[in-house]
Amino acid sequence: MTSECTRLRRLILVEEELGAQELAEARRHLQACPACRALRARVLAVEDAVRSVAALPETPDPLTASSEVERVQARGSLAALLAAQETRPPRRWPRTLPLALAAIVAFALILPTLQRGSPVRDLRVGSPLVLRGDAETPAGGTHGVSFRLKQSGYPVLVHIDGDGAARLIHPAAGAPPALLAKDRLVLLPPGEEAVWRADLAAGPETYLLAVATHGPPDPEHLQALLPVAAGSRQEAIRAVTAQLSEAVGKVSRCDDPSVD
Amino acid sequence: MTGEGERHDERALAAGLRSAAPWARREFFVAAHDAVYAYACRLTRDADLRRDWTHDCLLRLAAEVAEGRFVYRRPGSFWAWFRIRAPFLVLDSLRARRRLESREITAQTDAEDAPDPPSTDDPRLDLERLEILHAVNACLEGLTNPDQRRILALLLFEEMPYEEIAAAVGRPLNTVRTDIRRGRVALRSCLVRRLELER
Repeated sequence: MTSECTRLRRLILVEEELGAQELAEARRHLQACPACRALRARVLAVEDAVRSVAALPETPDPLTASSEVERVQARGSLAALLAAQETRPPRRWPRTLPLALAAIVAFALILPTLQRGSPVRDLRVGSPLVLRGDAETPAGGTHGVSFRLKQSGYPVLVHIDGDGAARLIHPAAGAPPALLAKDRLVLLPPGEEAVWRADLAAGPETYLLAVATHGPPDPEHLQALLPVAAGSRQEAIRAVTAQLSEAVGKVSRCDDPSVD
Repeated sequence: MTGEGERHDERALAAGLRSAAPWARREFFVAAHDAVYAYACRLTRDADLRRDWTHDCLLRLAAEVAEGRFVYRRPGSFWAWFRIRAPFLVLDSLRARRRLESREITAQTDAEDAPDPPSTDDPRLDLERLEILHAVNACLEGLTNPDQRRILALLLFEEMPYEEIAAAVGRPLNTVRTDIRRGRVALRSCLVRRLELER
């Protein structure tokens, strides 16, 4: 493709919108340039393929053509969806303080079974770049986690360093919570390691992951859940886990494999 | 859609979803569920997948409204947006499933033992087409102007004339023309890059 093609490509891509003069110029170029002709044909073919996805029809009973079995299954599906919505919404910290304290005690008992019933699978710790399979990246420190969600939701990731300092690293400050699809490989945190790893205390690191499935969590509320001074690293882990369990849902824990 | 307009009007429903109000989510799920489920029935005979895809789609739609990705402008606009957007999300689930299963098939060392690839009632929905749909979806999502996104979606999927689009989104015809022109360049340039059409 020549520099002339590059200049005219914009016209070629919006031929439908051109005025007479520009249209004539675009058509002259298309006649003379097989590469641009082929490109335009490919773009139009893509749009043709897209048109095969019809919008949902506007109909009072979309299941008219369905069998009785499908109707029963549909009713079950809706009932399950609505039942999942009936679970209690996240509560605010001040009203749940007593419950949170009780949860801390309970957490100490259930810690070994945390992964059971977890909303995530394939949870691993490692450098995101190494986890992506980038062969050029030296397999150095443990700089993030990878996982897959069992159902779509908003992951909340807290990092606890060797001194027990807890940091909310996802959703990142100032960024809206991201809705992630089920079964997709997720790597967190996305880049900017220098920002969130600044001033980390040496020693073992722990990631705590929860998934909000009933709507986007409030980052300010999540931030407020983190203890300012927990006493010890283990206490910090327990406190954050209890808070996240209460505010978001089940928590999965992932430790740096080289320590603890 | 069963139940459409039976309780709160569309504007109130959109506002309720925007604030993630439980009543609005419930009302939306009840009104929209069967349409999405019927669509999923066309794509798979697996009852679990139908249910999963339907739930994923509805939860994602509710979340998109809560994130401000739908802007209410006039009566009919919410359900028009829903009818265009929902098939994409269901097809995205189908695509993810196809990719997963094709990877599993590829990983089989003994081809004789490989399971048959998943089939749908719609033979046009091969993996390549699903990849195209995914790319179009991603490119549309990449448009920063939500009006431009909706206008292009109406043009692409409903093949609406410009005048009808202008009426549907409640904007002057000339503004719609400008949005279409700019959006088309952005969308098609994105598709050229994503699908490597310039090879």
